Amino acid sequence: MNIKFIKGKKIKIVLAALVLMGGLLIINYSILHASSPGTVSDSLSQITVNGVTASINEINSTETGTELTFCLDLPSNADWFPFAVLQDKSQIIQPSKITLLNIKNPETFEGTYRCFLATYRSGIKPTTKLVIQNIQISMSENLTSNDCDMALNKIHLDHPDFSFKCEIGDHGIRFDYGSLPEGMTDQEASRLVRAALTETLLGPWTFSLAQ
Amino acid sequence: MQTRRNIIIIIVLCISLLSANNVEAASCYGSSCSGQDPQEMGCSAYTVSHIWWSGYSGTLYTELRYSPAGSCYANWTRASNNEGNVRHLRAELTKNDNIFTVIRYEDSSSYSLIWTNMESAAYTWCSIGRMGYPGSGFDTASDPICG
Repeated sequence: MNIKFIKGKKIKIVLAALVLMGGLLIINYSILHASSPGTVSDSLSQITVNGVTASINEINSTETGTELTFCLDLPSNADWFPFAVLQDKSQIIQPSKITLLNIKNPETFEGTYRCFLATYRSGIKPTTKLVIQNIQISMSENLTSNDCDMALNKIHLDHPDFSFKCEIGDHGIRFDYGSLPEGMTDQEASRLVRAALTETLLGPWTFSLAQ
Repeated sequence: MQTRRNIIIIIVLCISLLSANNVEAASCYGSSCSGQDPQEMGCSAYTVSHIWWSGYSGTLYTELRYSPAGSCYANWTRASNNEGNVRHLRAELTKNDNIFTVIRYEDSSSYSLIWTNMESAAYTWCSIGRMGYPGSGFDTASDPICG
């Protein structure tokens, strides 16, 4: 009786292990077969790139302006903010404003699923796409000189001649750039420093807006 | 012996978890944050709205920042430029009235990024940013963003 019980228990453990392995295989399959970067979806659908799923939920467009609601299941509950543009062939339209929705709901900040409203001063054509280029954690007010040193080390991997200093002061931060590497503009230097001081996850998550 | 080892493992795990969550606690909440610097108060923050505005002196970014109920429960405004060089920046936190009465502001030609003091998030606030060349007036002012 005792032996039978032990055998039964063993079978249960083996079955549980098989179920667990099956589950893991399914998860692995989903990850491997997720949409590849740059995939264009149908309107009001979702795309997964680099483990982050984006969905487009609402499109309101007139001749002079467009409002789009899109949602992201972010990698963490940090201050991730999306950079989303409209693209029509080679023309890029920058957003005039992007706003996080449901801010009075604590779950918005406790969880990773967040929705944003993007506003553009342009209508859309059948060929227009929404391109969420990347998501980036906003720069903190609580930067330290150590953060700046780490950012410089990160930049040096690709731009060994680049240098900058952070002046962290009362209600503000100043970035002082040394002599810039040949061909680098002030704007590029600024983008480089901001990217190094934060965390960026590249997309793109691309949606066709044809209705 | 086994029990003692388990207890030690549990204690070590608890200490690790406590250290992992050893985030600097915020020093104010809601109305007690009014007029305080979010950096000094150690408020964790989210950008709830972000507006891009172009002018002669470049592209101005204005952000309405929000520290949720789990931290300071307060709002403030942040303004920055994307030009590499320092600009004359002004960040304003205003009332959500029709004339956007300024409640808090910060104005400087010394920074690439500036922020105002806070106000309680129990109310709706708006953010306006202004930018110009250092030592001169503003040539760019963003539309208000509220939340």
